[in-house]
Amino acid sequence: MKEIVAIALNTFKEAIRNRILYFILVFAVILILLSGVLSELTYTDRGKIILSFGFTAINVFAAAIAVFVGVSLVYNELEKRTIYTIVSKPIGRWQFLLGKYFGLLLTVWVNIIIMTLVFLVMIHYYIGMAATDHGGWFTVVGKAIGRAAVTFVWWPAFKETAVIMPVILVTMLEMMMVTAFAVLFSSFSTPVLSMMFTVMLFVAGRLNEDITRFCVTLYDRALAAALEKHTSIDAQLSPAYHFADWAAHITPNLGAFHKVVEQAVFEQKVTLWPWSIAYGFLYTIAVLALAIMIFQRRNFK
Amino acid sequence: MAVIETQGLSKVYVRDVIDTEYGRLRIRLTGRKTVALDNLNLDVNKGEIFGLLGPNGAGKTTTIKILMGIHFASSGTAKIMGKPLGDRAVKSRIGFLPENPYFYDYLKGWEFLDFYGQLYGIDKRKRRAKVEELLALVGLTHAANIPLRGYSKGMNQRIGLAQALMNDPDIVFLDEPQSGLDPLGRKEVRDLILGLRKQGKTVFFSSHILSDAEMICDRVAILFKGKLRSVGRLSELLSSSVTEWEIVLRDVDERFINRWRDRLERVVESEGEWWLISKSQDLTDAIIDAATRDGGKLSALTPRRQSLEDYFISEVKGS
Repeated sequence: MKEIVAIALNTFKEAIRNRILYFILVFAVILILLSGVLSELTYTDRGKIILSFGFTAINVFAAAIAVFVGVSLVYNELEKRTIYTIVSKPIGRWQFLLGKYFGLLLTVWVNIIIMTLVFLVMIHYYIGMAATDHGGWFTVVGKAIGRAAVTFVWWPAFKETAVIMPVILVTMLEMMMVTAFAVLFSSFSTPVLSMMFTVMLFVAGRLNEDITRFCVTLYDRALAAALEKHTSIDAQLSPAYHFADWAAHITPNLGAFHKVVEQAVFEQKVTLWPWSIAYGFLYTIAVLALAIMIFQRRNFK
Repeated sequence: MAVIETQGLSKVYVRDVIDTEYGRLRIRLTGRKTVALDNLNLDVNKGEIFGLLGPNGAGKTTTIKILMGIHFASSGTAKIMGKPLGDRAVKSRIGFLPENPYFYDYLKGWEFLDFYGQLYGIDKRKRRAKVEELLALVGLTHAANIPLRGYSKGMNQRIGLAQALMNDPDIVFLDEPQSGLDPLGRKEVRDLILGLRKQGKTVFFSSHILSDAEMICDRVAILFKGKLRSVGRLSELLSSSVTEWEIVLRDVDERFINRWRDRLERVVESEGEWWLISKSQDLTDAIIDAATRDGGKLSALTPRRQSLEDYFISEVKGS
C-alpha cells in the first residue's frame, strides 16, 4: 500500500507540473465565471442556466484533464524508460499501475475541487448581488468566499446551493471511470490513440442510454415483424441491433450520472442511487483489472 | 556460490505483427524476428565483479532487462539468489542502474532518492539518513536541492548509482555504468564498484569499455550477436593467449644471439643487455637453456599477454 501511495504522490507531482493542466484549468475557470454573465442574457430562470453551465463546464474540463494528462502518464514512463528502475524495485507492476491511476485521479479530483470552489463563490456572489442591500462589491465577494467555504464543508448550509456538492460527488465518481479508461489505453498504446479511445468512450458513455433506447426501438420493430410473419424474433433482429446491443453493454453508462445533473437543475434535489454508485466502482475495478492484465505481461521498450 | 544463474536464456523479438481475421479473409503480417539472446548459460558468484562484455547489439542490455523483469525471456530460466525472477524478497536485495538513465527530472536530487527509498519501504528517518549518505558517496551533496533537469550527464549517472544503492543491496546490476562519462567520472565509477566488492557485494555490469572492465572485473563473459563466446576469469581467458615472450639476457655475446636471430621477432642491445622477443614458448625455453649453458644470465622473462581488447577482437572476429 505504501508503494502505491508513493507512486500516486509522485504521479500527482508530475501531473501538477504539466502545463496543459493549467491551460485547461484556466479555461474552465473562465467558462464557469462566464456562466454568470451568460445567464443575464436569458429570459428563463437564471439559476438553472448558471447551474447547468457550471456543472457541464466542471464535468467536461475534468474529463479533459483526465484525458490530456492521463493518456501520456504511463506512456511517458515507458518512453523515457523511467519505468526500468521502478520495476526492478520490490513492487509489482499492478502496484505501479494503481499508483499511476490514483495519482491521476487525485489530480483530477483536486482540479474538480478548485473548479467547484470557483463555481460556489460565483453563485454566492450572484445571490449576494441580487440582495437589495448588499453592502457593496467587496462585502459581497467576501461573503461569497465565506459561504462557498461553508457550502463545501456543509452542503445543505444554503438552500440555493444545497444540490451542488452531491452533483460534484457524482462527477468525481464519473471521473473515476474516465480516468480508469485513460490509464487502460495509456498502458498499451500511444498518447494520441489513447486520447482518441478515451474521448470516444466518454462520448459513447454519455450516449449509452440513447443507444439502449435505439436497441429497444429495433427490438420492438423486430418483434412486430416476427409476429406479422410468424417467424422467430432472432431472424428479424438486424445486425444494427446486435451491434447497438453490444455497444450498449460494453460502453460505460455515464448517462446515469447525467441524470443527477438534470435532477439538480430542474428539480432542485439530488437522489444518489446506490446502484449507480456501485456500478461506477465495479466498472472502474473491471477496467483497472483489464489494464493490469495487459501491463503485467508487457515487454517494455 | 552462484547468486545469478541463467540456463538456456533466450529472447526473440518479433516486430510489427498483425494477425487478424475477417470471415474467410485472414491478414497476417509477421515482422522480422530478431534473436537478441541465444541460449545464455551463466553463473555469477557471490562477491565477484562480473563483466558482461560485447559490442553494441550483443545482447548485454537484453540480458539485464530480463534479469530485472523489464522484458520476459522467450525461453530458458534465470534465478537470482536461488529464486526465480520477480521474487519480491530478492528485488529488495538488489540494486539496478539502467543504461543512459533518465529519471523524473522534476524531482530534486534528495526527493528523487527519497522516492526510491519509499518504494523499498524504508521508514522516513532512515530514509533521510540514507539519502544524505548516498549523496555524499556520489559527490552530489551540493546538488541535493537542484531538480534533476539541471543535472549534467555525469551527475545523472551518479544519482542513478545512488538510487541503485538505496537499499544497501547484495547484488548491484549496472548497465553500461561508465557510458558517457569523462575519464575522471569513469575512474570514480570504477572506484565505487571496487568499493562495493570490498563490502562483499556482487556487481554484475555490462560494458563495452574494455580497459575499464579489465581493471576491475574478476570474471567476464563475452557476448556477440546474442551468443556467449567465452566466460571465465581474466587470467584464465588471457593466459592461454600469451602472444610473445620478452627475454632479457646478460653476459651473452653477439655470436650467441646470431644463432637465434632469424627465429626471433626482435633483437635489441641496450647497456650490455640483449632484449629478445620470441613468439614461441619452445623457442624461449631453448634460448634460455642455451644461454645458461654458455654462461649467460637471464635478467628477466616477461610473457606478453593479449589485452582484453585484443582477446575480445579476436573472439568477435573469430565468430
